[in-house]
Amino acid sequence: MTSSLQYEIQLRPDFSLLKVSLEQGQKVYAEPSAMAAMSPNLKLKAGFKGGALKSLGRLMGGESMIVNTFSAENGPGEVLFAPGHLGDTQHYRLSGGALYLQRGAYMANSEGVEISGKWQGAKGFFSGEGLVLLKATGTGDVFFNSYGAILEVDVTGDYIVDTGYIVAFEDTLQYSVSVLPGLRGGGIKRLFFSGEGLVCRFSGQGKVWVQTRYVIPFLSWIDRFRPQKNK
Amino acid sequence: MSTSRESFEGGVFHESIPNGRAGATISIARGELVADTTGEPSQRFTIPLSQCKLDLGGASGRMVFCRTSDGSLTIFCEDRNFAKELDFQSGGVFASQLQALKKGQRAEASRFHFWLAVSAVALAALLILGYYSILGAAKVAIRALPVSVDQTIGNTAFNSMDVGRKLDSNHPASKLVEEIVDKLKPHAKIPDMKFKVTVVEGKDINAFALPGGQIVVYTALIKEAKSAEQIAGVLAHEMSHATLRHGIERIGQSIGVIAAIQLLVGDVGGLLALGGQVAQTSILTSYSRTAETEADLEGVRMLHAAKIDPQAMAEFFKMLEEKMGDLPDAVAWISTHPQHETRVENINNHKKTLESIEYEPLKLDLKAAQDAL
Ligand SMILES: [Zn+2]
Repeated sequence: MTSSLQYEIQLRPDFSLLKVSLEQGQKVYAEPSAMAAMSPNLKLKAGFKGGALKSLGRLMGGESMIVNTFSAENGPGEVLFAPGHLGDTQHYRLSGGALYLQRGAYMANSEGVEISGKWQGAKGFFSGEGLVLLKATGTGDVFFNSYGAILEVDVTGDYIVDTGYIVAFEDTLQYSVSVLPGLRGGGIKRLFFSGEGLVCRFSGQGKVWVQTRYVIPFLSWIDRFRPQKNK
Repeated sequence: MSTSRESFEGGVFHESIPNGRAGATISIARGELVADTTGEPSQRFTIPLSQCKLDLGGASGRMVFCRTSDGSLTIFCEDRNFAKELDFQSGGVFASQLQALKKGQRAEASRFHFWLAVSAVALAALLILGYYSILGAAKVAIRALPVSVDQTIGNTAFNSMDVGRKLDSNHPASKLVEEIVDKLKPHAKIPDMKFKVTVVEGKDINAFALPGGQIVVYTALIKEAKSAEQIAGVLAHEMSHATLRHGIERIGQSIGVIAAIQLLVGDVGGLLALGGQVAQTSILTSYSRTAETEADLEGVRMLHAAKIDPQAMAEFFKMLEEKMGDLPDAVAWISTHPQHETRVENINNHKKTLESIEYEPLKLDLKAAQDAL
């Protein structure tokens, strides 16, 4: 049985910051850019984790191949992790089974957890940016972040989420990517060129984490205010 | 009924568990599904197999769920052997249920794949259609370009080509071909096209035309000709390539979509640069079969109008064909002008459709030109 990490998520939801307190001998793994501050006695090691194939999988999942390892070899210490953008941080305790993370949502994990890329085949290809997943398995703690706040949805039966708003979901949920019902036909163009209008239909029993903002609409909103090039 | 030899990794949903879900070790014993949660303290949940409502799903699509009839308790497992064991322990009852569930999933998946395939085909069709309509529009646009564009491309190509040693314009052979061109020129389809013929030293029996009216004739072709009319036949054919604008049409076919779009928006500069490039790769001098036939027929028309017997053109082809037997490498003109048998036939047929007139023999001294080479 792996001991769990002692953690605290501060300043939620907009400017969330994850504080992990490591006991002597404990380790935490994180996205290289996530570290904001750390105790000087913690040892930081940058590098591949879990072999080349797993790293490649992570790369395909849109995550860096390099994972930083923070270990408390010389007494306890704490480390602060910040998401790359405005948004919340969520903790999930894995006890066997798996958690699927949307591309870019992965932040950190404890020992006992494996992060690997999951090749989506046609599902992933046709959704463009929409749905590229990482799979977290094992027993331990996983931290992920969102753009905007996070809404935790308990699904029983069927539930539809726009692929751009999915942050994570549990392995007990079946999922299929499709065009938003009603957009069929007219949605073809958007489907191929932006992945917009694509939804994920979940069925079964389990949790889905949905973010309250999606970065693409925000970018197109902000684009209107950029200075225009003179013709 | 027996106890399962193995235990399986899985999980449980129940409201008494914090967060509602826990990992569990699952076994089957005495007709019951038993799940011991992995958390501390461990909890035990059981569902009699007879009360188990089976379902298939999860992210993998292979996860087996067993629910109580009120849905308050669910035990699930993804292990492949779990389904087998479950079926074995239930005495085969679950096998048909699982088969039915799998069938439903496959139908769902194949519907998805069907739509995927339809969308992919539609997209491919759109792309191909777009590609050809742009190229087609470019072809029209190319035809509309002034002939000066042909000349610029032809001259650029000619200057950048390494054609070999050019004969002086006062050389008897140069004079001969120039006189033939002068005779044919008034009957060209594009009256103001500036033809320029250059004789080049070469062992190949060859001649070619560049866009805009630049024509190159190799000395070997003049040496092998049996009459001035035969040379006239070749020149008429090559001049027709220029007046029918086959070169620039050819460029239009090879420029690709980007250049086609440039052309449609009126940017000829890119086309000129590209034309010069293409010309160096001999693309300009090897035309399609349709273009060759067109040039033959237009050549026959020009010869006829100039009162030169087109029969010589067919003769020349025949002669080249015979020559090919002993001199395959030297007969380069044949290699860029395939299918001579049908061509001879075409030329003769076309000649028959023209009104019969009295052809005038060319009063040119071929012998003197050949001796000077
Ligand atoms: Zn030709």
